[in-house]
Amino acid sequence: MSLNYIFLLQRHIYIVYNDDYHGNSMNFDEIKIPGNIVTVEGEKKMHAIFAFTLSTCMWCKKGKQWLKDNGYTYSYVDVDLLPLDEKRELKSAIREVFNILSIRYPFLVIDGMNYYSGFNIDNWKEMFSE
Amino acid sequence: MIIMNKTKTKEDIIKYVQGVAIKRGWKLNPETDTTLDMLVEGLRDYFNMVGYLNCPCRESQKDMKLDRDIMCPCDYAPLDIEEYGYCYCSLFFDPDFDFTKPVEMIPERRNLE
Repeated sequence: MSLNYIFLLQRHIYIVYNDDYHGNSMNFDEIKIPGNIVTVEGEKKMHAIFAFTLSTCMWCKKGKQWLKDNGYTYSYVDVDLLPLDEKRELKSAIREVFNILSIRYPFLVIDGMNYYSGFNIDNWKEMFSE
Repeated sequence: MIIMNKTKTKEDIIKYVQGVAIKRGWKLNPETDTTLDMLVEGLRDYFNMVGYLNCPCRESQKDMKLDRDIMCPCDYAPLDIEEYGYCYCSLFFDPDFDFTKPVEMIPERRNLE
């Protein structure tokens, strides 16, 4: 049984502090992320932030803009631009690492361990509060 | 010989979503220069990539049969508009929506598995 502690901050939209992370057979750093990984430099580098996004998605664009406006260094890949087989492999690996059934975008991974599914300014602020 | 235009422009998409909004009694996102613009571009880009109007905020399987329920306007839009006042993308709104309220991403109604 998963030991994830789920903090419900908004219905169905949540941050997961993944205490079960080290129990998984694979970790985030082992995932081979295909495609064009873009890194946006900012003055804040205290977290390793990776966003899985869709190039067409307005919420993803707003999320990326929020990270940029708030000075965070982050990387992202537009999943929809990947070849289908690479995309399937990537999503399967993400689901395995985070022990989740589905992914919605933007899918944010912080320090390779915690993730946030979707974009919500208040919850993102809380997640990055130092 | 009939030559079909297989790509759509931003103007084509604006015309389409305006038509949907009128037909369904919805309103388009009022942030015309920012959010609406991004949504229209997303729809256009998806159409030009997969050949149909996939919801721009959802992943396409690049197979119309699998994505039929998320073709814009998606099957979930009426329920989302009824419950939250706007659709998953925030493209279409209930005409009575209080636009002074913040517009946040709503829960995904679609069963992804």
